[in-house]
Amino acid sequence: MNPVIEIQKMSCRFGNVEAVRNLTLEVPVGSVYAFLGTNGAGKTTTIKTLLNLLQPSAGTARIFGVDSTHLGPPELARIGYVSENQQLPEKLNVQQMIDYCRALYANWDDALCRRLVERFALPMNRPIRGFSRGMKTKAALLVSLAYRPELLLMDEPFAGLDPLVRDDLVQGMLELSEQENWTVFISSHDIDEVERLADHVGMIDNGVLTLSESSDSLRTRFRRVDAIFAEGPPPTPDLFKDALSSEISGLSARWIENHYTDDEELGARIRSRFPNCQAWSSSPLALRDAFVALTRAQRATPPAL
Amino acid sequence: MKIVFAQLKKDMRCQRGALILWVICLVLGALPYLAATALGHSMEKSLDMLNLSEGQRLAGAVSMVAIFITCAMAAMFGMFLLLPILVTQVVHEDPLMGTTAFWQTRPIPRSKMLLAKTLFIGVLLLPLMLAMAKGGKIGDDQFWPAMAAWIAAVAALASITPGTGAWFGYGLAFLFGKQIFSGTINQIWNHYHGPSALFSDETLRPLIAVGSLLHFNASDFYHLCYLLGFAVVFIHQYLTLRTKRSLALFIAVLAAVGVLQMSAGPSPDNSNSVIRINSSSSQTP
Repeated sequence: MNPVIEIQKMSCRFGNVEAVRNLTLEVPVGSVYAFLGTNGAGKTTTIKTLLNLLQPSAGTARIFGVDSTHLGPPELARIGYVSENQQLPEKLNVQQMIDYCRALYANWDDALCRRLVERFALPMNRPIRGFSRGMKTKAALLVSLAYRPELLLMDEPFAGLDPLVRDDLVQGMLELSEQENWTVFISSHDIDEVERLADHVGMIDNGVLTLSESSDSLRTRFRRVDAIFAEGPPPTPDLFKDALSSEISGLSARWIENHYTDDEELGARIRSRFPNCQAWSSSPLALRDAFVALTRAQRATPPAL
Repeated sequence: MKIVFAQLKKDMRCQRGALILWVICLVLGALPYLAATALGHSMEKSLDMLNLSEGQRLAGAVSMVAIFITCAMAAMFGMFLLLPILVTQVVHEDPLMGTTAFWQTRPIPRSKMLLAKTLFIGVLLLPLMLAMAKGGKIGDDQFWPAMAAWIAAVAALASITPGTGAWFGYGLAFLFGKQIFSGTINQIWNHYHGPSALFSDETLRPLIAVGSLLHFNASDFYHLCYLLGFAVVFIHQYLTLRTKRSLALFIAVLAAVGVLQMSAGPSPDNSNSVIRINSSSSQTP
């Protein structure tokens, strides 16, 4: 099956600033893809380019096989978009916004809309401009889910929201989870929130994609290793050059392995590199730690000339 | 059409407050004419029957004048202040630039958005057109083409600006820019050719013929040029969302019509002199 989103060597330049550099990624049908990055990493630019709100300066971005620069109403009818910096029609109230959006979509689902209204507990007759940030995000999600989009693009939906609202949003998204081939592309720097949703993860830093793979593969590949060494010459930092990050303290060391397959193989590697290693243990790494380690490693690498 | 009407309905809901004020202004503006039409000559008779003193008649007349002035002021406010504000707001409600507009991520064809906005502006202009048609004034004076050109300018400028502040700033800049441009061109032309026509009567003959047929005077003609030019800018911006090109078009329209306005050279009577469309082609400046 063709990927829903297909980005090939895409770059986006604004004057002297290259917000996205040579980005290549694919989002498979039916996946929940978490697009992680720090502030200003290029997440929003990527999503806006996908939606034809910005044009790439090089490369291509395709949604449903259609070049993003040719995206039109037929494709937009299949896409839901929620963004922290989208201007909602704030003079309307929720009921009026629903009436407006209902006319735009042939497959608007009134029953689902009612369910979402109940779940989000939004006041129907108050103008949206008086809403809190969380309520505005809920209203945006409401009118982006009620027509059962095949692809939901979310740009920092959880930014600045309290845990209750975040949970409401996640529950709202799960309303559609039973729908076949439903794809979600969610950008965030709130890694804990998306970790429980995502089955694919992409990480971007300074406009460069540092990683794009399935969550399972990521959980397997990254491992935190603690080791204790016998008396003798202590391990030197150059011995950890393959690791993502390392801390040496006396006769103990801790580092992050990013090519872990199993304990047997790791043990063999440790013994060959550190003959005086007395004991070692490995533990799974949280997505947040992998993100931080990868980003730091990326920034420590001198840029290619 | 479902999308167009949904958009129109949404725009009307968003501008509800200003629309109500606009209707009040319209009704107030129409009151004196309605009253005059309804009463006609029977007013004098009715007043005679009341046996009013001279003082009472004077007080009544002063009151009537005050009411008429209030109504006229309301009509002017509605026409010249509220109408441009409404047009600007309805265009800015769904911005054509930037990357945060709600409508640009929804399945709304640009042509339908354009149609919805044009219909909204048309609805605003309709009462004026009807009133003037009723009074038999379309084509007889310069108000209707001038008003249409003014609204087209307002709408076109709104379509290439992100907000009211920018609209106002650009508007002022264009206004002064146009005056400076016109003055400069005029000076240069006069310096090299003296106060003669830029275009010969021969060049202008087709325009003069068309103008004579339509009973347009020169002023109407320029206003129609502006109207068409700004309409092109408005349509271009909606259909392409290429703001820089639309801005260039806007400036080109201002410059082109400005040059056209100077084309016939100076004349003692400025209002009808520039292109002698309504006059015979043998007239010289």
